[in-house]
Amino acid sequence: MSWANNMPSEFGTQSAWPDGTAISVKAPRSSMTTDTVTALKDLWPQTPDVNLIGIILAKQTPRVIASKTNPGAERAVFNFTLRDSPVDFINISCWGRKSFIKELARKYRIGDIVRIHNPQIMPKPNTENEERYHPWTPSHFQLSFSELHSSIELCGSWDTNRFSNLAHIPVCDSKEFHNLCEILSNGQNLNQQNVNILAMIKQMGSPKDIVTKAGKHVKRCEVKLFDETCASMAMIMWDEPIIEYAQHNWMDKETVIFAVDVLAKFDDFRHTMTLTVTGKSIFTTNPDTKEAHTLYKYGKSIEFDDDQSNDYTSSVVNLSTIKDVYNIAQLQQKISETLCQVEYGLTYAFLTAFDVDGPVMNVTSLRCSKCKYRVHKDTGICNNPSCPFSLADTAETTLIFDMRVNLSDHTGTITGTYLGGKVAQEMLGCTEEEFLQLTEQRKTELKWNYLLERCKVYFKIVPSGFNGANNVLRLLSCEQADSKEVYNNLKLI
Amino acid sequence: SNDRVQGEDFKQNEKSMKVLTVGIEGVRKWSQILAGDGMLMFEVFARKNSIVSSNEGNNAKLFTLQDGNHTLRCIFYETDRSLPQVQKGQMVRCLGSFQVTQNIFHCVAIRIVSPTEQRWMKVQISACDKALRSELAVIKIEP
Repeated sequence: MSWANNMPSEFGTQSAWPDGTAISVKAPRSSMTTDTVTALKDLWPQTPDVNLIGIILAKQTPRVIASKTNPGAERAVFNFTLRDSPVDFINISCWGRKSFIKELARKYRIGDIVRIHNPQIMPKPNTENEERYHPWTPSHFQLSFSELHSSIELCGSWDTNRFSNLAHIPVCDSKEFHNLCEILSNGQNLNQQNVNILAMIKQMGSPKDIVTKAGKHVKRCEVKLFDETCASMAMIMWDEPIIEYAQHNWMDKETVIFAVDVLAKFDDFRHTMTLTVTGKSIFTTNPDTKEAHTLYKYGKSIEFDDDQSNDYTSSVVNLSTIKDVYNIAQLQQKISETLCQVEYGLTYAFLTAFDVDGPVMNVTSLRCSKCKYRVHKDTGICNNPSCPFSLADTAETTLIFDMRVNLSDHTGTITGTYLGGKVAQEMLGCTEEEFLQLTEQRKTELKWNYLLERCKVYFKIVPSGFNGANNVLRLLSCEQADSKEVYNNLKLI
Repeated sequence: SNDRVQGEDFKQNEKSMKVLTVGIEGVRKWSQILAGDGMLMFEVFARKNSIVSSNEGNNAKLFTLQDGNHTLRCIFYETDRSLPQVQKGQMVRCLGSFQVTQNIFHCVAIRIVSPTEQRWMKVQISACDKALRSELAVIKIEP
């Protein structure tokens, strides 16, 4: 397995606790007088002297709750999931004082192998809350870890190989997952559903501190994923433990993940499907499955043109490599299809709307200088939730050509295709600032250089990623066409 | 419900404006055949065979195009620019729509053809004609 060496999976050789203190091999295990280990599959409510060893599969941010029995006092709870075989895992709730629980949550991380002594074994409550916020487990029980009676320690001296291998085995059937294109194209059906995915990390975002409307401080981290069917899909993480885990274990264009129960959501702002990590989600990093190895090979073999949908200005793509010629009817068809990749093409069409002498606000737009998203028309605040400027009072803005044009030929018309940035600069022969200084008459002259002329138009189609919405057609280059080329292509189409 | 939406889209697309490359004969022919099939615009290659006159309201220019035995009356409204200077007898390229009831071509752009356009316009016209015919054949209406 080519990635196994990159993984910090040698849990059994750790020489220090997560807080930095050295692990003494000879340290007496005071509370662990017995080496008899109970397997999760053998657990029963009356099992005496339970001693478990397993790997932490998932953990959640501790919560502080007002005590019901002791008014005014606070208790804290911290949940994690422990696994000791490919098929056995169980949820554990730890209750105690706030400081104790916080310390516990800080000390133990996803992927750690721990020994737990004397937890209380309880039947699963099977409530809706339980199902919604905690991972699904095959066990009939759940464990309660109490500050007074139970103990937990990092497994330092045990033969932990068996457990560290568990880190690469998916917790459910490794063939049961959606590819990303299915999620994009089934948007309406899968909205608000939990899905399993197998994907490779395209780009790890950096975590951002966010204050919610309710005044709560949270972290948000966005990861871009891809697979064989889809060039980019966003997955958003809100929970600190998983963000921390991802930051330490996932690498761009290197790591494959298998995720169970991530929430597929339609993002109104981006108008596409995204994934959200919830308390139910469980991740397997670099799963040791056939499908994951195939995806890894694919991911290593492809070159990204780094074509993000918010890259509206120009394209790094070499136009001379674009050979697919479409007529407008074919293009209309293409735009209404479900696409999972950016597609490139070429058309010989008349520019039938090119309103450069119309209102300036229809020709240019103000963009955030940081992320190039449009800023809000009235407030001047960046509209992009992942941009640091979206939290600032105002964004530094740049004026950029941003207009809609129509393309027509003998098969029909496509309205509202995007023309902006450098492409428009090249057509008009001036920058945005220079354009603002032009007389109306000059603008009209520039308009008639292209309006109703037959143009050779290079374009890209950016998937909308959502059923029912059209993909976006963006011009990459537009110049008056050569008559001979027009003829040759009319002949073919 | 998906199929229904896509079906509606398709119909709508069929009705979107088409721009045909034609001679004068083609203007009348295709206006008739494709009547009711959405808006049509024509790129007409022809010879300007009259001097320019003004209309009654004096807000538009009138002239005539000729192509073999066919002629076409044209009107050009000088909304954002005046009619470009074109000598009688020159080959021009006009863009506009045909008003069937008034038998007049509402011209919105006119300019002298370039040498390459002149060289390729005849074959372009026939290629466009052929493309339109083959599309009609698909939906089984004989022109």
